[in-house]
Parts: sequence; structure tokens; C-alpha cells
Amino acid sequence: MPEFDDSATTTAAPEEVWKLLYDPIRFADWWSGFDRVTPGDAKGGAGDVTFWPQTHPDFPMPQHILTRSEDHQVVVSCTISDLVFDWRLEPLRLGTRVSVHVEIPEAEAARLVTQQKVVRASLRRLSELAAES
Amino acid sequence: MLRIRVVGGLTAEVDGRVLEPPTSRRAWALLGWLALHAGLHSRADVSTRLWPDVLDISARQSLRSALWSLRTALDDADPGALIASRDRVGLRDDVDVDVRRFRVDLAAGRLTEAASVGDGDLLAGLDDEWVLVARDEHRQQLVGVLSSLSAQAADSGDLATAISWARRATALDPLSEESARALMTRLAAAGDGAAALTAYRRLADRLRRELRVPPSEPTWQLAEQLRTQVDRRPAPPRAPAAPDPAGPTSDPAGPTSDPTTPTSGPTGPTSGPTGPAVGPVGPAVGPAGPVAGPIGPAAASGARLPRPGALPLVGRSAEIDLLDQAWTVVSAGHGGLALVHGDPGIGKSRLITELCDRVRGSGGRVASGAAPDLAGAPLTPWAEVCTALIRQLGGLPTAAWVSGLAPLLPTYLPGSPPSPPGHEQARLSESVVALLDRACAGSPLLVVVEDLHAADVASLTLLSYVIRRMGDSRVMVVATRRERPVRDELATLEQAQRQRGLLLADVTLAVLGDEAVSQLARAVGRLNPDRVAQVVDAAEGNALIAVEAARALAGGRPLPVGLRDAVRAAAARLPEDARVLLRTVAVAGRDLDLDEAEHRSGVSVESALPPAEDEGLIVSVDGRLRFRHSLLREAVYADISSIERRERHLSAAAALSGSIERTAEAAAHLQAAGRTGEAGRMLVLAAAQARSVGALADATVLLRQALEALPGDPGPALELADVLAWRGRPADARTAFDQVLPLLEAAGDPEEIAAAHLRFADWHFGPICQPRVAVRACRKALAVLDGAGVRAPVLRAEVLAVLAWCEAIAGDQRGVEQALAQLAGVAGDPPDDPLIAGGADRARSFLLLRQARFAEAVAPAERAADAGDRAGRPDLVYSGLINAAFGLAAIGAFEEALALVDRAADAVRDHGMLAIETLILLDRAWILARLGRLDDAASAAAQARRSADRLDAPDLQATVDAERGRIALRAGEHAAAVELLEAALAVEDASIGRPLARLQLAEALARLARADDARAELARVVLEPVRPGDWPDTLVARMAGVQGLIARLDGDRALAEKRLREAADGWRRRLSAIELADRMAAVMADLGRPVIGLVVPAEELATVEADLAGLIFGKES
Repeated sequence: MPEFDDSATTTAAPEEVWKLLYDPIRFADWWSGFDRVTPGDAKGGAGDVTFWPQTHPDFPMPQHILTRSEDHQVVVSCTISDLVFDWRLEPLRLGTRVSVHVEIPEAEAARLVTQQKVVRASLRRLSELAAES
Repeated sequence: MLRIRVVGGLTAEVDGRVLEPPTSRRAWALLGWLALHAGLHSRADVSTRLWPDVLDISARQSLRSALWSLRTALDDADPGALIASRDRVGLRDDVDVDVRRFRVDLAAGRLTEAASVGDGDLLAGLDDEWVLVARDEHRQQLVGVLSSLSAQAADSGDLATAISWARRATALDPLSEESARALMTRLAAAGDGAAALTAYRRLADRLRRELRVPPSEPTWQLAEQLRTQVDRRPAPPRAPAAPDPAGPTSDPAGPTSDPTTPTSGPTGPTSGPTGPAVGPVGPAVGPAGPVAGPIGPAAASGARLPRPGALPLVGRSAEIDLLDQAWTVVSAGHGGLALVHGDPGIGKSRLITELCDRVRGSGGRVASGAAPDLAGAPLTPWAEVCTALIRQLGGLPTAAWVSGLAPLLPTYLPGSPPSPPGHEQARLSESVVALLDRACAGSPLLVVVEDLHAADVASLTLLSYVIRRMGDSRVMVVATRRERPVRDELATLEQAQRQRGLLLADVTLAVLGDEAVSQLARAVGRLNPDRVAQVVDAAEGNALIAVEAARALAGGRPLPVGLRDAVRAAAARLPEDARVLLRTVAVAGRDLDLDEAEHRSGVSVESALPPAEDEGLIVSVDGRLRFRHSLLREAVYADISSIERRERHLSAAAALSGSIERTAEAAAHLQAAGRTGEAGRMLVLAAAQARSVGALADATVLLRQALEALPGDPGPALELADVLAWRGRPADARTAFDQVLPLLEAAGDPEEIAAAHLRFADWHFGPICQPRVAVRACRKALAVLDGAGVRAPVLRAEVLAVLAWCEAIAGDQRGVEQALAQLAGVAGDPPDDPLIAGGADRARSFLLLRQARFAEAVAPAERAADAGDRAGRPDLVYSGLINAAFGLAAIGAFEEALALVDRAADAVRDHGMLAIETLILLDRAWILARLGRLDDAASAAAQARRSADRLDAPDLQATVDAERGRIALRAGEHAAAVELLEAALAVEDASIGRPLARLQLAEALARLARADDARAELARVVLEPVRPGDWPDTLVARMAGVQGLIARLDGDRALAEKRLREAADGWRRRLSAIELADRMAAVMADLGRPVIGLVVPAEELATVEADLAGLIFGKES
């Protein structure tokens, strides 16, 4: 299964990064490629939130949000494509490191390069937004 | 003139010159005694008091020596101060002794003068028994004086003086709750409530550290009353006031937390008699020679030998004294555990018998149980104890809790519908406690549990629970064990009781000294010194061997080579029927009722028993036959031929067939008889019985044995997987299940396969709360039935009920409707089976809650509760009513919700569900808080804490503390909120919603204007584990709100406004009912239990808006 990791460091306090990671409705503020995020499953399923892509604003993508009790992780897994994004924050002496681990199912392997760019841009935007807060 | 001071250390002075004490410590102690006891005393009396452990002649000699030393020290300074005639000794009347002046002033009512005697320990530095008694007495008298002075000063309005006297009293007796209450009352009257609560906290800490008990109800009530007075403010209009920039408004000391908040600090020494291990004893004390009573066979001299059970207790005076002291403590209402341990045959049972006789003689009650020699059902010792008590009480009491004993005593009580194992265990434990409580109402109770080293895990768990719960009662459990085998569970149990201060005596029986063995031998029969010496050599300090050796020699027989030889010889002298009885009891491996013994042996017990008793092999106690010692049983058993042994084991198994509580025992007999297959099936039944009493560890052992006996049989493997799931070992359960499934599939029975998938689903919405996994398992079960074209309506209905429920919790809402529709088609609407009907209504109700159709959800939830009641499942009644209450609370119908919560409390009361009762009290507190009845809410939460304390469950205590903290925060009692939330967070693994609790702690600190502390807590929030049940996105809004409060304290109004608006936006986004409903479902799934509510976004928004208004419009609190 294709997978990759990326990380970024921000001068923002861990609390500011924490607020952005734990508020899915604000994911669209920093997660590249999404127009908006709404609560619940717009397709009537068991998803926790629904992402609406910028490229296909009428195509809802419900997501499961799982907050794991170890390593301060927030795991976002898409109920449609089964992509899994595992975000993690780590307080530093001056600022915060944000890491992400992404798993892409074989069927979606062609999206690997795109996702790497999306995640890189998202990390950058997340860092900037947290610092601005 | 001689002046002696005994308060503080012992000093003597003449005309201001301090005298050098004599080199003899005993002489100095003698002076202390004479100083305390005015007048002249007989030498015999004085010598006995100061030298109690030696012969009179030695004691008087010691007295003479001490007098000589004392005279040498005193005569130069004040000749004649010491009076010593031939018969009497004492101090001259005019010798000035401080404690005598104290007593005179006390008798004359001159309290102030009496109080000037000082606060030191009487005769500090001396530790004789009489000193300890006198010291306690003096301390009590002085505390009484100080308390009276305090009361007088308070009455006259001089509170400062009253407080000063009260402080002295508490310093003298720091464990006295009466003194502490007096001090608290005086301080509160003086307006220093914070100091009053500090005094309470010190008392609570000390009680917990030293005695492992919480303060009593009156003291606790006083503290609660003071706490509300200390931090009482007018109820704020919806939002707490903004922090006063001038500084903190609440008292800096802060109210105390509940006294039994668990701490992690070191425990201090326990008080109360915990006897030291007793080493080799000195010369025997007690009657020398046979005791009149039942006698045995003739000795060689023609005199009849006493039965071993009638022999006096020899060489154990120190040990029996320790147990007596423990019993005295228990009789005064401080229950606990006494341990007696030693090697086999050392005399543990004889010591216990002596104790039992003394207890009965003093009017106490005794009930006994023992771990069987042969494997038996879990909790066998406790079944025996309870059976004995029920007989003594004249039958089962009439009380609701009695039904909880059913799994333990199936012959007395009909069974009830199975509940989750945890509930069964809790219910049974509380019922046993209730029975003991009933039994000790009229007189103190001694419970004997023998052979702990062989006891099952469930018995040890129940023992620990009973000890903890009965600490304030007149119940003493005395337990015996061998030094080997070493068991971790035993060591843990003993250490826990020691730390709690509930281990009243710890008696190690060492080998008897030669003198004691000699005395024992002489008690058996007339033996010349040579014979006695032979016994001493042979016994090597072991009482059992000593008795057998003495009996052989006294009977004119040679010394047996070993115990087995002695037993064989004794058995050979018996008539045939007695030998048959002997072998029957040996094979049984436990005590047998007389009827049972007669039925199994086929002989008349009336004629067979006496010769066996005379030979000292068997005893009859309370209508039950047992070997005098397990070593004797082992010896008899070893001599039974293999053929006869097999036949007797088969016969025993047959005798036990049909007895539910004896299935494990029957299985053991079958195994011993080599009938492995039959044993395996019996072991599965035994495991089911063990599970019914919540003995899951024992059930695991039985099932593993069954698996060995029945390889390839999926039944035991599936049961084992089930037990492992309920033991909270999901990975092991799944592994076991993965091994079972192929076996079931190979057998090809679709209903069995589907039933297995249903069991798997059960685990995943029960002990392992993963409802999505349960949904998949249910679908597999249905697929198997559909694929095989099997209707199986009952099984299908059970699967559909579970499926509907799990879909409702965390699955597809449309799936709920589909499952319910299918269920109606299979089982009718409503189904006849109350459990299925309840499951359907529960699913229906939860679906409606998730859809935010709160009012509509109430009726099906109440129907689910009613169904639980019809099914005899109070746990289901509870969950149904709480879900209904949630629906009502969600639409603001708080009074109606409260009524349902109270119904839930009534439903579970007396069912031993203390944990659930505690949670219900918390739900009650939550609703009362919403009704604005903050005092009542605090009271309910405090009751919850008391309930949690009874269970001594740190997790539950932390849950309660967290909720109390939230109530305090809501009431504006920020200091109390800080204390309670800190206490809750100190328990690392408690499921209290840690991020939420820490954010609320930060808020409370911010409202106390402790900006730096609040900031530090926010930094810690980031590191807290966040679970789905924490409703993570609301934490974001809350954090922004606290950041706003901190920014305001920092003087950064712009940032404060920004953060508060951020918080308000965050809460505003979560106001929708759908949002609330969906998140509450996640909370319930995460916590695995129904909840009324944790976070109400509308309330939080109102609070933030009030803070924002205060900031913008400069509104101060």
C-alpha cells in the first residue's frame, strides 16, 4: 500500500495547532483542496463530517474522525476512498512540530504524487494559520 | 523534697537538682510506676505488674534488685522518699508528682490548673504495657480537660482562647474526630472557615494514612456544611462572574476536598494490633495434662487416651493472646482480618479451634469455611460460611439483597436471569456483606476461612472485598494458610489489608519448642521421660507428628516411622465400617455432611464414626465430618488401592450429579477416575457456574482444562473466548474465536455458526465496546442463516435486536429501521421475549435520540426499562430510564428527567450495584444543577462520593470528583472546583474526560485570577489523550474561551475579545440539536454507559457571552 510521511515546524504554540487539528469544521481553512467541511454524513451514513472538494463542490466525501488516545493523533479516514491521514502534534521548546502519515489504498495509488503535494501545502497552511492565531 | 515529673520524660529532682537516673532501666520504670500509683502496694502486685512474663519468684527477685538500684539513686538526695518494707513498697506521700497534682486539680474542677500539667506523653521513653495503658488514660483525661476549657471559653465568647484550647486537644489526639469537630466549629464561629476546613483536611489525611478509614458521617457532614458556608455566593445569573482584577475573591486556603480522595503518597504505620511474626516460643503455658472431656482408646497403662481434638492448646499463649487482642478490637466495632500461617501440621487449626471456643464462650458467633482439598466450585469457602450463617439465623432473612446470594447458594434460592459477569460479582459481593452485617447485629462475628493457599481466585477477591467493607463492623475474618505454595494474589491481598490498617493480627506459627512438645506428649497420655524425649525427637516441633507419636507410644506401640505409618496403623485398628467411612471422606476431599457421608459410604455414621474419632483421624464439627488434618487425609488416600479409588471417585461423581454448585467437584472426581471426556463436559458446566458468580478467572481455568479434555470440541473454546472477552482481554478473545470458527464451520451446523457470530457481537457491544465490529458480526450471523435457508426465529430475533442496537449506537441509521422491521417480522411487534423487546425499544429510542427527536425517544426508552424489569435485569432498567431521562433533559424537561433518574435509583437499590448507584447520583446532580438547585446538586454529588468510597474504586472516585468540580465551577465555587478537578485528574486512568476536566480546571484557575497556573494547565491539555467521547471539537471552543479569560488577566483586551469571540463562534456552531444528539451518542459509545449529559453548548455560549459583555462593557464581578 503506498504511504508517505511529512512534517513541518511552526513557531505557533501547541494550543493553536491543537485547536486547528481538533476542529474538523476548520479543516477547510488549511487543508488544501476542500471548499468546506460540514458536520455529519451528508450521504446519510455513519461519517463524522463531510468534506466538500473544491474541484467537485457537489460531491460530498464523508469522513470518519478518530482521535486516538496515544501520541496525540487525529486520524481522518475517508469513507469513500479509504485514504487515511494520521495527523500528530508535538510540542517543542519554541513552537510545535506537526507530522502526518498518509496511507493510500492500492486502488487509489495513482493519487500518491498529488496527495504528497496536497499534504505539503496543507502543512504549510496549517503552520501559517496557527501562527497567525 | 523529691519532685517527680512523669508527663514528658520521667525526671526526678530534689531542690531543683535533677537526679541522675539509675543504670537499671527497670529501676527507673519502677519509679515511674510508683509515681503513678500513690500509696503503698504489695510487693507481689508490683512485681507482677512490672515483670508479667516470668515466674513470681523471678519477678520478686527482679523487684528487689530494682529497689536496691532506686534506693541508691534516691537516698542521698531524699532519704526516706522510697518506702520498702518486707511486704509493701511505695513513695512517701509528700513526694510531689505532676500527674498526681493533675488528678487532684481535675477532681476539684480546677481545669486551668490541670491543663498546666503539659502535653508530653506520660513516661515518654518507656514502652511497657502498663505504661501504654496509663498513657492513653492520661491523654484522654487531658483531652477532656482541654475540650471542657475550650467549651467554657466559647460559651463566654472568648473564641480565641477557645480555639487555643481546642488546638491543644487535637494536637494531643490527632485521630480524635470529636476534638477535630470541636476545633472546626470554633474556627468557623470565629469566621475562619478556611482554617476550619484545613483542620478537617488534616484529620482526613491522617485517618486515611494511619487507619485507612474516612472520617465518620458527622465529621464529614460538618465539613460539607462548612464548605458551603465558606465559598457560598449568590447564585450567578447563568454565567460565573468575571474575575476581579483587584485579586482573588475566594479564600486562598480553599475548601478541602472530600476526605477520602485517594492519594498516592506513602502510607504511614497502621495503628491497631498487628502482631509481629512470632518466633520459637519459650516454655509452654497452660494446663499440663489431659483435659477432661471426650476420651479415646486405652493407653498401655489402661487409662484411656484423650481424643486429639480435646488436647489443650500448648505453647501458643502468645499467639492466642494476639488473636484475643484482635478480637477485642473487633468487638469494639473495628472489623478486620487476622492471618495465621505456618507449615502443615504446625497447629494452625488447633489455634483456630481455641479461638472459636473463646469467641463462642464470650457470646460471639462463628461461621467457617475451607478451601477444599479436591478442586471444587469457586467460592466454596464462602458458600460454607453463608450456609452456616443462614442456619444460625434460622433461615434466609427477608430482604431484597438475599436474591443476590442465589448463584452462591442455588439450593436455597432460585436463580435469576443472567446479568453481565461484573454485575453478578458486584451483586453477590454486596449480598455476602449484607448477610455478614445481619449476622453480627446481635453479637460479634468470627468468620474462619481455612487453607487460603488452596483457595480459588474468586474467594480471595471476595475476601478482600468483605474485609474492606466490614472495617467498621464487628466482624473478624481469620484465615489460615501455609507458607507454600507462594501465591501472588495472597501476597497482594495481605499487603492491601496491611496498608488499610485492616490486618489486625499476623501470626506465624513456628515449630514448638521442646518443652511445649513435651507438655503436649504428656497431655496425650502417661509417658515416662524417655518416651517423652522420643516424641520430642520425632516431632521436630510439629504438633501433628508429636500427637501421633505420643499416641503410639502411650498405646504401647512402637514409634511410627512417619505420619503415613501412624495413620496406617491407626486405620488398621478400626472396624471395617469405620475404615469405609474413612476412605469415603478421604476421596471426597472436603467436609461431608453426616447424611452425605452415610449416603456415599453406605455405612451407618452413628456406629462408624466414634472409633474413627477415637483414633484421632476424623472429627465432627457442626454436623460435618473432616479429617483432623489434611495430611491425615492424604495418608489415608494414598493407601487406597487404585481400583477402589477409581470406584469411589466415580461414585462421588454420581452422587454429585444434578447439583449445580458441585459440577466442578464432580468433574474433578471424573478426572481422578480417568473419565476424561465426561469430565470435560462437566468442566464446561462448572465454568458456567463459575461465570454465574462472576468468577471469571476460575472459569478460565476450568475451560482450559475442558479444552484439554475435549480437543476439537468447539464448545469449550467458544466459552473460553466469551470469558476472555468479559475479562477485558479482547485480543485473546478474538484469537480464541478465530480458532473456534473453523471447527464450527467444519461441523456444518448453521445455527451454531450463527450463534457463535452472535456471541462475538455480544462481546463488542458489551465488555469490548466496538459497535461497528458488532454490526459486522451480526451481519455475518444473518448471512449464515440466510445462506443455509434456516429460519431459526429465536436466534434470528436475538441477532436482529443486537444489530438494531449497534446500528443505533454507531452505525447507519437506516440500518436500524431495517433491522427493526425484520425483527417485527420474525418475532412480532412487540416480541414476547422481554429481553428482545427491550433491545428493540432500546434501539428505537437511541435512534430517535440520534435524530434529535428527543421527546419521541422517551416512550420507547421507558418501555425498554419496563422490559428489563420483567426480565429481572435491573441493569437494563437503569439504562432504559437514563436514556429516557436524557431525552427529557435535552428538551429542558428537567423535573420529569429527575423523576426518571429517581426511578432508576429505586430500581437498582439493594441489588449490590454500587457503581451504578454512584453514577445515578451523578446524573441526579447534573439535572439538579440545571434546575439551579446547586446546593442539592452538590449534596447529590457528595453522596455519590460516599458511595464511591464504599467501593474504594479510584476510577469511580475520580469520576465523581470531576463531576463535583464541574458543579462547583457552575456555582462559582472556583477554589473548590480547582481542588476537586485536580483530585480527579490525579487518577491517571480514570475515564473522566481528561481534556475537558483540565480545561475546566484552567477556567477555574483563570476565574481565580491565577493566570500563570491557568496557562500551564492549557499547555497540559494539549498532551492529554483525546477520545471520541470527549467531543473534541467542543474542546476547541472551550480552550478559546479560557484563553480569552487569561488574556484579560494579562491586560490584553484585544486578544481577550478575539478569543472570546472565537469561543462564542465555536459554541454557536454546535447549537443544533442534531449536533448534540450525535455527539451524545458518541459519548455513550465511548463511555460504554448511558449519560444524561456532559456539555450543553447553549449554556457554554451564554457563559462566554457574559464574559464578553463583561469585557466590552467593563462589567466587574
